[in-house]
Amino acid sequence: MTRRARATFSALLLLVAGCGRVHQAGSEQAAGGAGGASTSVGGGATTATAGASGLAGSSAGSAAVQDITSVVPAPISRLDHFELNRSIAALLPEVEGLRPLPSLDEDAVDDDPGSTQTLALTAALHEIAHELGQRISADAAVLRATTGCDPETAGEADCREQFLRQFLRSAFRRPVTDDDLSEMSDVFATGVSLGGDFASGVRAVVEVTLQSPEFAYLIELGDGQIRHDVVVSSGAEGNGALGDAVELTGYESAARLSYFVTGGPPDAELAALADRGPLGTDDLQAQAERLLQTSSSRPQVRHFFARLLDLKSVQPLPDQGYSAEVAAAAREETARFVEDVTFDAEGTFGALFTARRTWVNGPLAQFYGYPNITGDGFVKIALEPNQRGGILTQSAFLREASLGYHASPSHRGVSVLTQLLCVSVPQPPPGVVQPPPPEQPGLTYRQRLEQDTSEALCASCHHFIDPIGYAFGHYDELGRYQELENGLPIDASGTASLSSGDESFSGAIELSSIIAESQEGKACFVRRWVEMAMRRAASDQDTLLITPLEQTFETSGQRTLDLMAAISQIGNFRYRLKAEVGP
Amino acid sequence: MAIALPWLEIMRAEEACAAAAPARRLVTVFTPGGSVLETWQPSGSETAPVLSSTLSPLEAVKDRVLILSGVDMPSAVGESDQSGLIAWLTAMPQENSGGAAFGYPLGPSIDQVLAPRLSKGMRLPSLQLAVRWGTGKAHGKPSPIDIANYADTPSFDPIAPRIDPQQVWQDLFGTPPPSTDDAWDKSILDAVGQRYQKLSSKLGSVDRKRVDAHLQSIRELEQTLSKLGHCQALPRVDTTGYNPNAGLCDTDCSAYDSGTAVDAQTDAMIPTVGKFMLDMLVMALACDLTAVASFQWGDAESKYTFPWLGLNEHLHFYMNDGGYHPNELSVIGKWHVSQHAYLIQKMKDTVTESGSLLDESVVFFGSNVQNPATHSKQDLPFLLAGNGGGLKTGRWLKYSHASHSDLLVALLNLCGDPRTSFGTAKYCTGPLARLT
Repeated sequence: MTRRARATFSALLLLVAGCGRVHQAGSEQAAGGAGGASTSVGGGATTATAGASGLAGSSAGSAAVQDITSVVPAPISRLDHFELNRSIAALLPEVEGLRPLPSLDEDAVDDDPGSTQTLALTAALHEIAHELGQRISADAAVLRATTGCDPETAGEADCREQFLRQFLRSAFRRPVTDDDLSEMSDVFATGVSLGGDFASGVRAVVEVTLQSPEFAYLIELGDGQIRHDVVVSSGAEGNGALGDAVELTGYESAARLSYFVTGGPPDAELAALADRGPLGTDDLQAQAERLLQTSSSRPQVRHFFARLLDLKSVQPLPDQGYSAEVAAAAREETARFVEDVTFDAEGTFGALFTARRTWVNGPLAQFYGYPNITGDGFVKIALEPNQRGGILTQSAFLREASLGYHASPSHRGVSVLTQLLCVSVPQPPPGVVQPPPPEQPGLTYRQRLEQDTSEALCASCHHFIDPIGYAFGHYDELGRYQELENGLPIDASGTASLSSGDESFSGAIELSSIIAESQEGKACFVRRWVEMAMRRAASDQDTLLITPLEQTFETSGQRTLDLMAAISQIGNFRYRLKAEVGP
Repeated sequence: MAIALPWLEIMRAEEACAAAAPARRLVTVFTPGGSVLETWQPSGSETAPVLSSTLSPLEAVKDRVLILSGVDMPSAVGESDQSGLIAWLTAMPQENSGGAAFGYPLGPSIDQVLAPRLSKGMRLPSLQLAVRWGTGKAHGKPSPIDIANYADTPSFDPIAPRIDPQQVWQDLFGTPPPSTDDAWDKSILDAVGQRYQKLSSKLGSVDRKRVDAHLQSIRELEQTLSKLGHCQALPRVDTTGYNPNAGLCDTDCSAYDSGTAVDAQTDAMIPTVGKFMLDMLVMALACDLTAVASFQWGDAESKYTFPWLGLNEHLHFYMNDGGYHPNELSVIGKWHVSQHAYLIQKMKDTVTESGSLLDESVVFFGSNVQNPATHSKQDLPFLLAGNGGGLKTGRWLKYSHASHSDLLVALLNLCGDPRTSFGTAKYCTGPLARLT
């Protein structure tokens, strides 16, 4: 099974490699894995399925040597805009006077937690902290709700201390230290001296806290104890040990798990569990399963798919009837659909590509041409089975994967390959970035593109990229269904070279079914979720971690929520490499 | 400042010997409707131009202006009013998806190309301002009829300008509001910085690098905010009576399309609002809030009126809707040029660390058409100003059917972008010669 998975990826990769340089970052994992994997992890008898495996139930603290694969160096990570917004909302709960909360733009292009270009985030967070601080200090009721006490009756010193303890505990996702208390008391005092009152002290603390690293980053220093009984091994090296591990504190594990499952900080139950010490694999499994049953995990699943499909690039095209309102509704359609499939209906990977229902509101229905639906509320509808089914036939994806006014098959092909099949596609050679093929009467886009890319240099890549895109020929650049293209018949047939062989299709519905069944599609889906959990891109170092999860995913019926729960068992939720910690 | 000025003049003379540094700022000013060639065209020689009546308001800053003649805009392909605005900063035709409607260009505008380079580390990559924007058929909304600025990455999204003067003031100069906030912000950011510093000392090298980068950004923010302190000196101007959304129309818009829906009260405020907007633009540059600013007097088919000039029909009426009215158009053109002279003077008077704003900037003034009636795209009314990148002003350069695409390449080059072609390749032959 494992070997087959690798072979299949390689098969697809050969095609890509044949067309030029393959990017190092993406799916190389397959190639690398194929080389190194078979000889790896010789050492640990229990570790054939090491990554997903803690599964087996060995709890932290057990005396047996554990082999934790794929805790490769991962810098501490900053929360992204989505997570920061969720964290701010969680920190200031139900304070009516603060609604609506100011928020970071989740579509901002620089929202890259891995980037060191942080000025934009720093400035935006500063502005939000500033605004919240002002609003809290300007309104007595809001101030009271935030501090949890009244300085008039409780006394200023006691109220300040009570506020600092509970506010910082919740903002920093760990107990408050004496250092924290003394530093933040100074901040409070500075606020009082500049602003002249107790409220200004609160304001200063709120502003500093929201900009602090303990709030904006997931900081994992561990408890300082080196665990010689835990071997951290790399998937690709085969020979194993990368170094000693440091066990995370319960608070650190809880935060990482919570941000993975809900996109927000730990809730009360998880926080209380963390108070009792490090979390074991059973704890993580149980908490993941519990959180997946609460509504707090739903926004995260929506967020995952918005990232997967790059839906922040769904651009309005007002002069074509695709207003900002329609674009937003299209994104909401996909979000509602994936939420329903994942939580309320089939629960499976396959259904994401094949379910014949969707959600539309008035403006979106009008855009699609569905009659009798009005208003801003979304309603569930059944789809015309020959025209649409699944995420790839929704306007959000189709529009995102278009180029401006052009329903470019190349762009759509690249989107499917890179985002859903984890195949990296090389950039065009320098200087040959071409505009879409010019209009020619009597020729479809496909025919013009085939003409334009017939040269060997172009064809070497386009011959494997474009056929995937041709499947979408019946959808224009906005995702509207078209029987004919400017009066011409559309050829939406093509072939995808997959591990299972060459799969022929005609149209996006057939292509969707092929992806739903494909080894590549499922493996890529697992990989994307693992990347969410690791908070970094996967590499060939992670093969040994991901492969068993693919297997788990397959045997559990490809259920997304089960996959998320299984991922809670990977080493990153409990350990860091010693080498990463400490100066 | 008073004693610094003469010294700076000497500095400038010395610097002229060295190779010119790239321009640090780009300002573009769009004026709709072209010009009456007879009253626009200067006379005299290249180095001693005599200003025409339309250009006469520039007399006081003539030595800092470069007048261009004979530059055509071949890339302006599409609807006759719109294509000129669209090509103006992009050198690209309008997209046409096949039907009667024309769309946006499929490429960026030069301001957006330059924004990351020039505005690095500043609060805004670029600033777009417009007065009486979205009139007539534009219905007050972004459309190919009123957008000049386009994002630098696919799908080259249109960037709508800021049109509400009070909101602009609020956004740029309104926060942090009281002056005591300087001290407040400094204390907050100092405390935040201390937390990052403390954490940094506990981390391994990879992590530390990230946290230190964040710390660095806090320091940069502190500097930006302390500069922002000076910006508050710009007083808010009362613009009561001006409705920035006067062109907004959702249904039954025929009166807007034809220009019969006149908002005389708003139009009467254009001089006040225009000056306020230009002041804010200059202050935004002076405070390093941004280094790239675009300004629009209306849209490609502007339908505002000029009550302060005694002209109560709208611009497009004087162009061709009501027949060609060269006399009225010359009066209107001269007024727009006088506002441009105000901008140039203001930039000249704003002292920076190394000279004046104008010394370090390139200012590009242009329109979407040449002849107001025929909408021809030859010999467009283009002016450059400023000495950024070594631009040599005080001249009148006459070309014969030079391509405006080449002009845009030259402007990019002046600002340090080395590319040799821009926009649709077939309209471009390389940088326009003789500017420096």
